[in-house]
Amino acid sequence: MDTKIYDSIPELLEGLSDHGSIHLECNQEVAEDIFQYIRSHWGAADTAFLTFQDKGYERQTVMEYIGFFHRLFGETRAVEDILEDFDLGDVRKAKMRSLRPGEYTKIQLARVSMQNAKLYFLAEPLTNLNEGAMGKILRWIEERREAGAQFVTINSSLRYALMMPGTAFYAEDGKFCEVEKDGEESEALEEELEILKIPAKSGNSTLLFEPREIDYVESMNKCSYLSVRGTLYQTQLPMYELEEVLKKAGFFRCHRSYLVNIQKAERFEKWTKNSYVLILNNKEHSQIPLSKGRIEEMKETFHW
Amino acid sequence: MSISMRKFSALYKKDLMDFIKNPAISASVLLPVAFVLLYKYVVGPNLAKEEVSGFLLNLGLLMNCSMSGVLIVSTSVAEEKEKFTLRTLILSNVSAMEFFLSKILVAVCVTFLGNLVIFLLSGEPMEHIPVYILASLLGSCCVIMISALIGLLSRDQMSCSVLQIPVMLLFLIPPAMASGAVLRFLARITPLGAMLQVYYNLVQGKFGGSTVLAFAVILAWLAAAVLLFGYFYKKKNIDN
Repeated sequence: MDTKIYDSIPELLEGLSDHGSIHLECNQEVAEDIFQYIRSHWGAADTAFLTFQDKGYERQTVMEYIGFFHRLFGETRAVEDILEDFDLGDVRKAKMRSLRPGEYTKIQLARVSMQNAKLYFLAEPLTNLNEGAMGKILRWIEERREAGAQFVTINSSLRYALMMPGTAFYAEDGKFCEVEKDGEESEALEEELEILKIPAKSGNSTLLFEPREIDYVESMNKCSYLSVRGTLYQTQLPMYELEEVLKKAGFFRCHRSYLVNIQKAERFEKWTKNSYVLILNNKEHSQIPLSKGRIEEMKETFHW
Repeated sequence: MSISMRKFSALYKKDLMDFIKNPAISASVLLPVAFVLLYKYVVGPNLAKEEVSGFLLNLGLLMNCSMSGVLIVSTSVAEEKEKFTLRTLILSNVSAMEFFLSKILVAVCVTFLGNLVIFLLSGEPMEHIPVYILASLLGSCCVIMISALIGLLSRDQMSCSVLQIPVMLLFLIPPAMASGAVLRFLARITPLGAMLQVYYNLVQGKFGGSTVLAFAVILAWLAAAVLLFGYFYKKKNIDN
């Protein structure tokens, strides 16, 4: 399977028509460059932006803020429905200055949703959101995509990029690399090794984790990271080796880039037509992308 | 540059509500009115009867024009820049012209209303009201345009107040004190001093040289503010 690598922002965005939507894992500097590029190359009337800084008018309530943009854009749907769609029903009377980061994200998404653009640039659309809100946002993105809109999103975590409908990329040395689509192939490597501890580096020391401590394993830029109690630790072992070893400890490869400790899984949910997510019962209730193609395998493996 | 009425009315409503909800700014109109009331009942009884109305009018009109005139537009523009809400508006296809016009219109309406209340409280004869409206509108529009220029030039509320305070003092102190040659001269060439001159000359039926000169002073300030605004508007990218 081909994975695309683009050398520059213009090339990446030219690929937008092939991919439909681009979900990029990158830092804020790259995000700013992409934002400026889109701003200067796309027609202002057809683009909508969600950027990091705006916290709205601090003396307005959420409802007044949404109401203002409702009038500004001449939106026809009722304000109440929009608040409901973006999980804002509970904070409608709250003052803008008293909100939490995730609520700002939802409000800004509700704002851009009224703009009816052809291209949406969203910075961190899923960060700080709880599962319920995340599901609502993903469904909205899918709806807009079906209506022909394109999305460019910037994400701090590859997990978020993979969850959204479209193609996920990560940025590395000024290049943009596509994250491989999840195929059905699996490396059948039978090894007799019996390792009970997984080594991971932390500064000068090498930590040895027991499998049950690990929530999930994430692979990014050809490295693997163990998530233990909310912190990511890099490990030298490649993903396929980890999969082999940890299979015995009840781990499942739920996505090309993710290996999850099924003991810690709380439930899995269908969020959009093609996106499923596994929710863990750790402190953060981490959401892990779950490939459609692997669900049957998972059910079989664990006899569900 | 085209202006969409839908967008403009949404902006106007938002700016007006924000003026009402922001005590630091609405005080700029309430304070002069409160001062006029205070002086009317505390200081007024000690003054000669024919002096009271003129004193109250000078006090209230000068305070209101210099405070709300200078503060409303510039502070609110600076706040929108500082909090990045201006950037969001521009990205939502609001033109910078719509953005500024809505704020200017709010300031003109509010200052006008304040001036009217001050006139009614001062007890000046009612037949002076057309002249008063003409003079106060001219003076306040001129100051509000300067305020828009300050808003355009400042990056945040802090840098905005650095410009606001000297401008306020320059416009307020000379006509309010009007003692000594320097202050008298300054009062004559600043817009609010000229505004009072226009009012008193016209109600006394003087249409001569000093009236024309006072008109010219106000119009010169207004024209300068508009020209400078246009210049910096083109030069500066309004979304920092």
